[in-house]
Amino acid sequence: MKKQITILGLALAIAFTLSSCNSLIECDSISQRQATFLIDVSDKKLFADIENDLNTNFPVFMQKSGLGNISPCQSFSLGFGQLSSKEELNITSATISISRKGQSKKKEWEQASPAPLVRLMKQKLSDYKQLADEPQVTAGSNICNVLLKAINQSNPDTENYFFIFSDMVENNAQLNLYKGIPDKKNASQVIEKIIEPSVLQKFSGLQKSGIQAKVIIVMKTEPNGKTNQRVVKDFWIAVFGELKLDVVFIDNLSNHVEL
Amino acid sequence: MIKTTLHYYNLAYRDVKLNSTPYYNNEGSYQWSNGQLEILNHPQFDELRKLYSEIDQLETKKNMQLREMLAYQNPSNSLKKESETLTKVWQSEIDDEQLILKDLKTELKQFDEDMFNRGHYIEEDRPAESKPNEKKSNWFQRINWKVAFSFFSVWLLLEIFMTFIQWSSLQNDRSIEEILIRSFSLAVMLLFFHLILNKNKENKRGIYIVFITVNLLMISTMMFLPPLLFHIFPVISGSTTSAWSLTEETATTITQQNGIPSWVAFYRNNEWVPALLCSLFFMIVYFGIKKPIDPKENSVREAEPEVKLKTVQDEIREKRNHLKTKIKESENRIEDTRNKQASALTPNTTHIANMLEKLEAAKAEILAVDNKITELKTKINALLKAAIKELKLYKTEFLDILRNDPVKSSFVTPEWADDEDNNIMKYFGIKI
Repeated sequence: MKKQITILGLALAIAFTLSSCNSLIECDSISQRQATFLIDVSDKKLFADIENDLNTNFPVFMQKSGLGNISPCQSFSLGFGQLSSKEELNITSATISISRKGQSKKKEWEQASPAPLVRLMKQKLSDYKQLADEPQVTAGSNICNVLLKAINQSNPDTENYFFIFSDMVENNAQLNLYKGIPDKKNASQVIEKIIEPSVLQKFSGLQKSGIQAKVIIVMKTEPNGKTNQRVVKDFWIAVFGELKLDVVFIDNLSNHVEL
Repeated sequence: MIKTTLHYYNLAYRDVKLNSTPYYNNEGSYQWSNGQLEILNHPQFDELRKLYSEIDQLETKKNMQLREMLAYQNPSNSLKKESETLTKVWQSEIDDEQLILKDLKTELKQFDEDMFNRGHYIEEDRPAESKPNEKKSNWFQRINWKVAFSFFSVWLLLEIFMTFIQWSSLQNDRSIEEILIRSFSLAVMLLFFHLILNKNKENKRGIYIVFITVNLLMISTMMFLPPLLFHIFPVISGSTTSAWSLTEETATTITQQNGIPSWVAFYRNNEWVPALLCSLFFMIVYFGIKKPIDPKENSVREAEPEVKLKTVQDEIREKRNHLKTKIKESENRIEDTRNKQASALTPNTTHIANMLEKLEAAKAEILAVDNKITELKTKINALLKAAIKELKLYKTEFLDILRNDPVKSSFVTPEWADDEDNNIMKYFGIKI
């Protein structure tokens, strides 16, 4: 009887020891990283250019930048939204994460696999391809307001990256760059005009709280050649400068970007 | 209280005129003059009589205390003598018995030495080896550290060896939890192996051999099967670039060879299964199967009624026990005698103590009385001195007056006392 009790006690002691090894396995916290792709679907040719860029350069970009590479106790979310004549923000996202430590490499690779993100991306590109044909969508484009909305709804505790795939030629009731590009000196007035006050207010609040947000603008050439890309770029540099946003302009995803 | 000179002059003058002079009569007692009597009869000297009376009483009391002390002293002396006599009587008995005890102990010691020299080791005298049923108070001492150390050493060596041969699969396929479980499983299997091996040494049985064989097989499986499976059914990882590809159909990180048997996948995820099987087998073997009754033991018990022949050891033990018993009896007798001695002396001792207490009390009282007497005598002396002084003043005046009266001085011859204080004391009735 004594031996049985001894063995049972030993087993319980070992179980207790193992259970107290949680610190080796459980994550204290999970650091998050989020990338949002805002894709301009206001023009069919433009979208084709964007799609080609993504198909060609996206895998290499993700590998080189390490944006989607996660380690134990990290997660990465990839979201997609459209830039069109509609001012609404509609983001669909998927997440990969490794939520425990001490797992086998095989398990970590399985959890870090970008397959769900790639599936989502393929699906959204397919959807956007169809949208790019719809006149309602291609009637104009809302870029800045939608961008700020996307920033407003992001998590302030994560690293946030916003990729804008567009020619940046905003065309809506508040601003039509086809008709004329405002002076850079009037950037603040333009901001007040094109961005909703509530959106702007919330954005200002988030900036004060120290939100981490980097904007990478993959600037495409206007497909119909109606605007001067450099002038448009200068204009947006002024606007984003006024908004104190960390913005980088690249031509396509094969360009190097410091994240 | 000294009065003025005039007072003494008046007294003396009156006495001279009235021919009242002090003198010694035919019987030799001193006759005071009127003036002297007036001085001595002053109320201030009344206290002399009282003081003397008090001293007298105190002296009487003191004498009574002294007689009482004598009354206690004599019996206490006789009790002391009686106690000394009794002590001597009992002590001689105790001394005799102690001599006997000493002889017995010497005899026992000599006997032990003789037996030792003859090569007979007496069981009680062997160095303390732990008996199988002897309980050790300290749990730390119960552990056989040599065995524990050897067990842990074997476990460690096997762990190192197993890690070495499984390194490639461990890196990719095992988490920390799984490694710990595997390590614990190996330890458990080694422990069971060790326990059954010991049991088999004590009592060889077929089931133990089977268990040992199965256990070794399970340990070998744990050690060699994973690398073998890794070699036959490897786990391949894909490149990250293709993982992000939007054009490939299967953009997955890991590709595996098709056709992995389910048991391989099951075993890879549950490497503790051999340990579990061993544990179940162990429970059955160790606790479930009862020890069979040995027929030889029964036949030995039935043959017991034969008379045992005494061995040398038995005889030695008998002799020793006899001596020890005698020693014990002697010690008991000494103890009894001591107790009797104490009980006999106790009443005397108590009496003597009481008497001594009373003597001390009487002595203290006598001392107090002496102090009081001394105090009173001091007062008496002071009063006597005062009386003498006044009488001297009176004498001076008397002699002056007489000198100035030639007629009187021719036929009046006062006799002054030789030792005035004694006459004064006589006058007041104070015994010298």
